[in-house]
Amino acid sequence: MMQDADPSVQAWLRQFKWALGSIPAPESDEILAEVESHLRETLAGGRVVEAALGQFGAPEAYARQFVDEMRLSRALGSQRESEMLGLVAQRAHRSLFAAAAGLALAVCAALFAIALGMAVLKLLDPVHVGVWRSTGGLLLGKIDDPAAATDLLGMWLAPVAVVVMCLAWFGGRVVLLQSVRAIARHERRSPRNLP
Amino acid sequence: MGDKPFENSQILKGLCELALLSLLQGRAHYGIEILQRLRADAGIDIADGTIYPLLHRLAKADFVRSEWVIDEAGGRPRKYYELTPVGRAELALQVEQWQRLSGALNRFLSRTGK
Repeated sequence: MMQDADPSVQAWLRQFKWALGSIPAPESDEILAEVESHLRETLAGGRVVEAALGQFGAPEAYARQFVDEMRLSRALGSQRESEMLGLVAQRAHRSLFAAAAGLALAVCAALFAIALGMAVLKLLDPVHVGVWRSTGGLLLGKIDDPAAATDLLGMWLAPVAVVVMCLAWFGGRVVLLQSVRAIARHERRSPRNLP
Repeated sequence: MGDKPFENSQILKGLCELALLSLLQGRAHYGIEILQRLRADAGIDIADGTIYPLLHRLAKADFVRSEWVIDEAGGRPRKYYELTPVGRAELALQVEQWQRLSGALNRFLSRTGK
């Protein structure tokens, strides 16, 4: 790092290097070396330190652009649920679209969990668990007196639950993939430190 | 008036990539040189820091490739970027899209009271 540079430039570069920490070493070293080379050259050209650093903004915010892009590329490249979910969760607090996608994913996850729970309960207690219709309306789950209500699905509950689980999983994956693609379209068309 | 740099960030968004790809089709450039050319020739006045995340992303997308070169005059290491064949295809696509959009918009803006 620029040992001969102004202390504030050294401090900026130190914080920048630290903030790039989640990017693997050869790649983060390249980014750091390029920014360092840029600063060295502009300072040698007569630009004052504050103006040179001001062109990059806060080191953490600047590093986040590289880190965000790395996560985005990784999620788009692998299309693994864990990486796509991590990306949507990370963007949820600063993007309305990602927050809406997070809500849709929560609905899919809730549907999946309810269907799974119902399927398991039906297998454990086929007499008392079902989708019941009684004088009080519709009820999903376990009742004490099966004779007081009509089981609408009977043993079909388990296969129906499996279908719901598949739909929730597929729907969640479509939401995830489309969300990540939309985030990429938005962020890649919007450089963040324009004048 | 015509040479005044664009100051509207909304208009600049998305144009940086197109201008950058177009710039690199001629020969390899390094960061500061790219900024100077974009400002002087394309009227795109962006902050210095904007260029490196963009170059980094274009390199990941295989649109550009880079190489460190020691500048003979000053002995400084500089990272030069040049367009790849994939980048040339992307540039052709973006130019075609931009020309179609700007042509339609120009016709719309120059309509006479219709």
